[in-house]
Amino acid sequence: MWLLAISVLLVTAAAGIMFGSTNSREWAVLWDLRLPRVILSAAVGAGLAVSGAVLQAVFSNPLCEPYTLGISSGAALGAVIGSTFGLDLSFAGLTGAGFVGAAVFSMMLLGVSMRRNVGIFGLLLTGVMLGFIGSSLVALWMALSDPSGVQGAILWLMGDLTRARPIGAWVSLVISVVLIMSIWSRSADLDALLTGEESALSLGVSVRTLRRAVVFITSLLIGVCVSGAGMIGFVGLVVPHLVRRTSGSLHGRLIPMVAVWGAISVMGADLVARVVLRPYELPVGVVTALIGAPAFLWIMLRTRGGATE
Amino acid sequence: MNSSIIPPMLEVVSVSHSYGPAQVLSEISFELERGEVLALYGPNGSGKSTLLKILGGIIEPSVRSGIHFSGRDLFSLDRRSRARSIAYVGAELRSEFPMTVEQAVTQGRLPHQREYAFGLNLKEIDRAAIRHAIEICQCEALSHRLIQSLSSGERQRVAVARGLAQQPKVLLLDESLGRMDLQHQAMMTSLLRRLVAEEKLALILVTHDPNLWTDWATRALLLSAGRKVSWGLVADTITEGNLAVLYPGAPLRVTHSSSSGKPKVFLETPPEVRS
Repeated sequence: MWLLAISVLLVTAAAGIMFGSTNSREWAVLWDLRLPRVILSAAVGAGLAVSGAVLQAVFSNPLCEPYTLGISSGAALGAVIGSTFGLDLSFAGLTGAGFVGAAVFSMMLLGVSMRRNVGIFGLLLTGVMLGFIGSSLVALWMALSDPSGVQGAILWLMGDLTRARPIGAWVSLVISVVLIMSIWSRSADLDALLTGEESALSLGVSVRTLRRAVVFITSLLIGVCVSGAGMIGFVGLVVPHLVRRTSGSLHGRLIPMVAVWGAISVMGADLVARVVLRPYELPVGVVTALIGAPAFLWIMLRTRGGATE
Repeated sequence: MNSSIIPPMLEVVSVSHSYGPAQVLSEISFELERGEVLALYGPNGSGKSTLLKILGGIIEPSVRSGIHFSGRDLFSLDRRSRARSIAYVGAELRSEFPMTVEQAVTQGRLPHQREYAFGLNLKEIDRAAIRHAIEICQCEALSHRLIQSLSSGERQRVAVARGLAQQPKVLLLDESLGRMDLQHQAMMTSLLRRLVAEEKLALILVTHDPNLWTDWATRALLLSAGRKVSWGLVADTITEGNLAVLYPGAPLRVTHSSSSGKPKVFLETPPEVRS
């Protein structure tokens, strides 16, 4: 199983470096443009997929994904506001603005989760509402802005890996791996939550503390992903469900597997996005959604038919 | 001189709980020793489950005192050591995610793990406990099936197996036998009786069918609207007078076995319904 996953990862990465929107094989193109892009897509894919898997467990809700908590809308809002001030000219500028937005929204979410009277559904609903507020403000800001000023932000909202630069991509990968490890180290407690909150409490797990820690770590992770590559949908929803079918739900095995397949799926989607309409590029979020949404429907219909009550 | 007195294993002194303004438990007290079986009995909403969940660490009581385990305040224990001593088994064991019966029972070993960061690190003693729990609850044939694919009665067997894999000193069963078929209910009660007699397991159970326990429980605590109606030996508490307080107007009759003298409860069919 691992052999397969790692081989597919390496092949996809190699293909991602060798092929692109041009046929160029010059060293500078491979090294300065395509490699960072492959690295960034791996970091983002792994981060989004692991966030999805762990949020589903923590909220006992298989429909959770990174965007359910509204943090990505915060990032989007930050980026859109930043871009009207001309920040979209630089990777660091837009990424920084996006990260600030994500951080503000996740702090609000954490603030809500600290309140004693807010339970699991309250927290989830707060995330969904923050998401609505964020995307409405994005729409409002765009409506009020000069259209040419927000062009970069619009592209970014559909998932944009073109801003990958050598150092930034590696930094994203390192942060993503560290955060994933810190989630992975909580595997046994996360497993206890798979049979529900009461069940985990009766096994001696401090559910409140665990949930708070995981929401905090995933919001950082989502902040890194969204600010690095914009909104890439469905990876966080589809990859965990597919991997659970073969690896089971226990997180000790699930999380590294989900990380690898998440990385593969975004690298692969980006490759498709660069190659199909050469020399034009599709936004990578469009590719993941067009492949991811039908795949998810298929899974859901299969599961509904197969699950017995 | 008092130091020679051994405190009761579980001592509950005047526990109260309210959900917001609604008082669901008021000043409940009882004691439980090793090898004893206590049945909590009363109508829906009488506070039985709330009491059991407080003991199992699932609900924090609004007044945080009055429960002692082997003389120590239950809330001064950390959660995991509490889970090693007291296991709570609910009415349902379910998951939104694919999980096998064996994986579910294995979770019962979580409180016994010292290092468990990247998943449980099972030792031979853990594996033996898991195998044993699966075997005595007759779940071997199910062990590789997904819990989603089981009937609710089978899931209850798995839930009890997980509770036993926890190797607790006190087992709390919250309506955990109600959906089993008669054969498995009989199997489960005789298993529990054996564990109580041989391994001195203490048991607190909540069920709506008193005849599951009247002939073997040590004591019964009768609750109504969060208040104690009666606490004592089963034969002294299960009387038509007490049942009339719990279920006013219900035509309940108590008979006593001629051999053991243990009470049995019957619901008489009202005359106008008879054909």
